[in-house]
Amino acid sequence: MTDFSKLLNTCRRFAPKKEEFTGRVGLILVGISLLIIVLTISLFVIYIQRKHVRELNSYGVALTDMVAGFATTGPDVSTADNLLKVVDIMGSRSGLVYGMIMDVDGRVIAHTDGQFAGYMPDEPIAKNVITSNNPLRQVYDDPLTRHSIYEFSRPVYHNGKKTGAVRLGFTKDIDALLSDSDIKGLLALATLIFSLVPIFYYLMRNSVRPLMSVNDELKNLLEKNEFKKITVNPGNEMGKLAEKFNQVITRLMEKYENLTASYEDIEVLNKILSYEKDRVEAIIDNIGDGIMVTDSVGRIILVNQTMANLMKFSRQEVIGKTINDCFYAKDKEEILSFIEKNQFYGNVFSHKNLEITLKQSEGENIVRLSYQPLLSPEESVTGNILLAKDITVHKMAQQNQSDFIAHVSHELRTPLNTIKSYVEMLMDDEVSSRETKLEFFNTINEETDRLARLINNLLNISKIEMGSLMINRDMVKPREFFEDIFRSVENQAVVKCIKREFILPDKLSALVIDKDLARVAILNVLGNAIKYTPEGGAITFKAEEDEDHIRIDISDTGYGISEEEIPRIFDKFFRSADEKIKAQTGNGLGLALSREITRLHGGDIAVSSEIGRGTHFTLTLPKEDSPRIKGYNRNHHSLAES
Amino acid sequence: MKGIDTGNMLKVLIVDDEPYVLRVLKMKLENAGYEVITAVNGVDGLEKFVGERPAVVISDVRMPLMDGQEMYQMMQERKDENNPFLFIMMTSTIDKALKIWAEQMENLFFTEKPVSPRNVLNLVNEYFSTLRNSNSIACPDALIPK
Repeated sequence: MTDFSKLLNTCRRFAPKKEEFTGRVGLILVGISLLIIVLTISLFVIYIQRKHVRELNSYGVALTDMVAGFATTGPDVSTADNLLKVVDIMGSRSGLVYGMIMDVDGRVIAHTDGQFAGYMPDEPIAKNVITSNNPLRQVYDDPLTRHSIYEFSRPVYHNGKKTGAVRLGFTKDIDALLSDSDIKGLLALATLIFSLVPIFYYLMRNSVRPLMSVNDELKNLLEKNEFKKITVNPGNEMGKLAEKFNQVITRLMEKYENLTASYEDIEVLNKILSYEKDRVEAIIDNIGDGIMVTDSVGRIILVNQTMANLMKFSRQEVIGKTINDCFYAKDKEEILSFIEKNQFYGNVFSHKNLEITLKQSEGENIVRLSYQPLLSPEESVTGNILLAKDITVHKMAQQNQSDFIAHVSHELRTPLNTIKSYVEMLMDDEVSSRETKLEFFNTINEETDRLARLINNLLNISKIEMGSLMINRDMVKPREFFEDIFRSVENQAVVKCIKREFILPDKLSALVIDKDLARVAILNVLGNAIKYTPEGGAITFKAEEDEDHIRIDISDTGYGISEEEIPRIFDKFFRSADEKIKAQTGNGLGLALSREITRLHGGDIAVSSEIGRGTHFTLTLPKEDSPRIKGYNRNHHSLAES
Repeated sequence: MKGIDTGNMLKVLIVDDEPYVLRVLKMKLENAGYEVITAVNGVDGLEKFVGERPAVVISDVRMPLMDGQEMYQMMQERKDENNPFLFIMMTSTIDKALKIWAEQMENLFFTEKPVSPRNVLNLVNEYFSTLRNSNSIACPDALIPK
């Protein structure tokens, strides 16, 4: 996601909706107007109060002065009463609550009527009045009504002598203070303010319309990635703002579109690269040779699966490490020394291979290592590549082949040795009697045959190798054929005290086989059964027939073949790793030959085995009338002698 | 060819699992006047070596129970210091390691099959002749077969 998209999303979360925005403005306007009304009324009330207090002050002082002036005649009760009656009338509209005239001792001589008739304020207030020689204004709270009482007092002098005091008390009650006209005025003001709200709202709405458009367009942009230019009168500030806004958004949109296009291109390119990377990795992984690439400072940056398998490490484990960390101590010294010799110094490096048996964790792999620098076009070393070719199978085959050659050599030289020495004895006239001479000639003859058979076998193997082994089918009587084969190996079993069982049904169809080759195929399996069964064991030879085939089961109580080796026993030159098997001579070709021969006949060979329990081979060979050998013209062949 | 008259001490042991080899070499050496003992495997050969103390042992390499190489080493351990013996090793296989090993061994003559009985007899004759003349146990150069 691009930064711009992130910005858009963030804005989306915080941007207000249009209705929300309009409603909020209306509410704010109503609130503000109410606040203005309340403030106006409060200010008005305060003003009225202050005005009343000012008026009260001047009125109270004037009235007190007047009463005090009239009271100069002395404490004449009737005069005082009359005076206060006038005051009562005059002051009632100004909030007068009480009025009194006192003598110098503080006794009330006369007072007004009404609610506060005979009202005596608190002692300290009265005391202040008596003791003061000047006019006073005292404010106190009426304990009953909690109203503030403004008391104006003035001493009364007669002939320069203080004769008493006048006290007039006023209350400042707002209700009383607000006149009807005041209230009407206030209502008119409130109505005016209220009526101004919609007008103000309308005007404000008009002025913020460009902002609303900005909001709408932003919303449109955020939700649909669409933008329409705001059209506002360009004359005023809002218009200029909208114009700038149009320009900014247009540029941003252009950049965004360019970025989106680039991003899409990059996405496509990224996918192509990712696909290419996977493909190259798959190719590298499927190469049969181990590949390890290091950078210029020797850190491993690439290892293919084959190399990981050879090292018995996971790829994640070695990436970022050095070659030094990858191999076990046993192999490390040799490998590091090899790498050191092949380091690229200047333009000289020896390009040689190292054949080494890797002893990584379990099992052994023989590998051929090569180490080469990776050169940049400027001929500087950007890294190195270590290649490991697993030559275990190749080496094993080589070993098997040299074992085979050694075996063949032995098999060839043995009869040759006999022939040569016997001939030489005859030539040197070492043999005198006719019988011995005859025996010698016979031996030479037999050994020549043995040599010929061996050469035939070798030729067969060679033909199998080249894929040119031909079979000459003939009809063969099975009973005689099998009995002859069994008899030929029976002596070997007798020597090892192996129990023999030979089971044939009363009737068996004739075989249609290359007698010599089939004999080799069966003999190899039967010979193995005896060879790999310990003394005192048992072997069984059994033949049966089914629709198409004669089935030969050869089982033994021998050493058995391990599960891992079973798939390989028919491979040419394969010999078991089992010590007991290795102790016996063999060239690893017998079973390979048996399988090739049975398959060439249209049959097959199968095996099941258990270590320590024995092995069971089943060979199938085609019989007479088998659909597999249709086209075979039996009129041209006689039954072969068995 | 007539053998050298050396009395009962001219005893030769032939060890091979191939009966034809035993038959022909025994006949050749006996015709030359040697006393020949035969054995069919390494274990048998070692037993007869210890019992009969032959002056010459002619042996195959690949044999059941114990091969010729092991038998030679066992014989070296069991030999009588006063009665040295020549070991003629015959092999029908190609084994470079065995050849290198044989070259380093004392009183061991290594040859590949097929062998000529005539050459073997010559070798045995030469050995006894050298032994009689110099009382040396070394295998003379003259023993290389023709």
